[in-house]
Amino acid sequence: MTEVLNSPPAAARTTVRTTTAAAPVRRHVGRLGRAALAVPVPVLALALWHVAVRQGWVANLPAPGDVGESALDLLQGGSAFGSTLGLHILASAERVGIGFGIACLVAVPLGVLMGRSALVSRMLDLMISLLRPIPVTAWAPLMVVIVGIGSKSAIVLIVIAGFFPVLLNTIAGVKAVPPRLLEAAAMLGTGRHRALWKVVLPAAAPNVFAGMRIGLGFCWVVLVVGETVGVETGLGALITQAWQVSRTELIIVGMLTIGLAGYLSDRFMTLTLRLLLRGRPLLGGHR
Amino acid sequence: MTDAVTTLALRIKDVGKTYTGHRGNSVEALRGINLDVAEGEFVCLVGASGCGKSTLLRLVAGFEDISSGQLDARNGPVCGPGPDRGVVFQDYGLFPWLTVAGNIAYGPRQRGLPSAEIAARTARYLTMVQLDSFADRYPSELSGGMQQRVAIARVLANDPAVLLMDEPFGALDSLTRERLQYSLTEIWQQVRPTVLFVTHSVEEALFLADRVIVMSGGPNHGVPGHIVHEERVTLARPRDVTAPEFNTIKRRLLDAIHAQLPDFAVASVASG
Ligand SMILES: Nc1ncnc2c1ncn2[C@@H]1O[C@H](COP(=O)(O)OP(=O)(O)O)[C@@H](O)[C@H]1O
Ligand SMILES: [Mg+2]
Repeated sequence: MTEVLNSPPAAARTTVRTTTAAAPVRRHVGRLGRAALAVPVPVLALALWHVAVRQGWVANLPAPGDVGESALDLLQGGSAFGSTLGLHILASAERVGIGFGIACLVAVPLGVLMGRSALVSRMLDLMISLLRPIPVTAWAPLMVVIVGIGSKSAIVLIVIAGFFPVLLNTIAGVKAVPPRLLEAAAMLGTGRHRALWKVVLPAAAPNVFAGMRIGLGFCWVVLVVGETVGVETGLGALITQAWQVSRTELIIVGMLTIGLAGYLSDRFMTLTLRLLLRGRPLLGGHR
Repeated sequence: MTDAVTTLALRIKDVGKTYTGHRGNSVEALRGINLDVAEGEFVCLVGASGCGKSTLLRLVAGFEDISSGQLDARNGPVCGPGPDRGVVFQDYGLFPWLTVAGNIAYGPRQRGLPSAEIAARTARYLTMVQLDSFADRYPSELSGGMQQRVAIARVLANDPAVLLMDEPFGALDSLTRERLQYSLTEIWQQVRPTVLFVTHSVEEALFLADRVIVMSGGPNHGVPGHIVHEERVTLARPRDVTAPEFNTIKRRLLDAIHAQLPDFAVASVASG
């Protein structure tokens, strides 16, 4: 199970409060400094890309400048594809939101059940193990046949993509719940079933959240496959259409937008969870 | 003390426990345990490791089922864990996602007490274990000794008829341990719960208990764990561990324990 992220030890989950007066300033500078470290590599990559195109090292690759221009046009220009980027992003984000939401709603309770009940786990383990290796690309044609082409089949594919990481991490997290905590809850008056909610879920939460982050990432990954046929909007659709009319720079804009959207949605989810949890040490890690 | 008038908090009658492993192999950890604990009594179980102290405590807690005999608490035969028997574990077992106050309020919340009552209890036991200023901290931010105080407060807030403690101070440094032994005595005098306390330290048992029960044997010694000696302690609290009376009883208890150990152990204890 390569998706399973180990949660750090309990001690690492709490941020140390620094109290000296100079600390906030130093921390600010430190944070900026650390953020600045992320800049050189992408800039170098852009430069290399630019040079590679100008020198003709790679054929048929548009230069970064051309990609930037078409990105601007896509944002607010007047050409055939002009001013449609927002539309595509919204359409994709909506599908990812719905699909990932459904995946979590099914995978988390199922994972808790499978992690706690040997019976359920024995009944479903084989089934899950058989389905899991099937790539989402292989599901796509079947879904088109069953669900029909269009937004629905894209969402189903997104559900499948998000489902397994969340499920497997939830199972792992639930299995790792210290028996001691269940004993503690039992002797304080929590019944077996209530303990699922009161103890198992919070104790497994760091793993569940790790699974959700991976799952959300996978949802964006399958977007291009899911939106290939039968939908007009969405970043996957944009890439497909651009490909059909050989607009390579548009393909690249679509790709980069998916990367950015995936990154931002991860940040958004993490921040939202952190707000909802109001400082409770359930997320694991510091980010 | 006349047994006729005291009510019993625990009645352990001819209790035995045999663990059954996955492959059908079985380990007889306890046999023929008889022990009555009066309401409000502080009883310590001492004995070498492996003699079944934890097993006995877990039977009373309801975490394990007895294999033979009869085990009654105030509400009748013990059947599974319940809030009438609070447990303090050696490794604390606090909920890491709840604050100190949240951990203490957990039991009262589970019982659905009104929120004013929950707040009052939380405040009372926070004060009792001297952690008022740490109410909003999380367990991982506290030292071991502080975490164990939270665990004690968490159980007391639930008003248990019996308090079960399995080497609760065993993982702490000796200064912290002494402080907590002292606090526990004070708390016990204040709240008067029935306590069954497991330790392998004779001195700790003598410092705390009304009655010290010495256990011996265990599967590793070829005989199931059993009770070999019992000592009533009537010294006034808080006890002075350097007092001659204290050490007279301590000597007697140590003799009772060492008489049960194989010869080489006696020899090494005598030389050490
Ligand atoms: N869950 C278990 N399964 C099998 N054997 C056990 C189990 N728990 C304890 N034992 C055995 O029972 C004996 C008594 O253990 P324990 O009650 O932990 O002793 P103590 O607390 O006095 O050190 C030991 O030999 C131990 O190996
Ligand atoms: Mg033990």
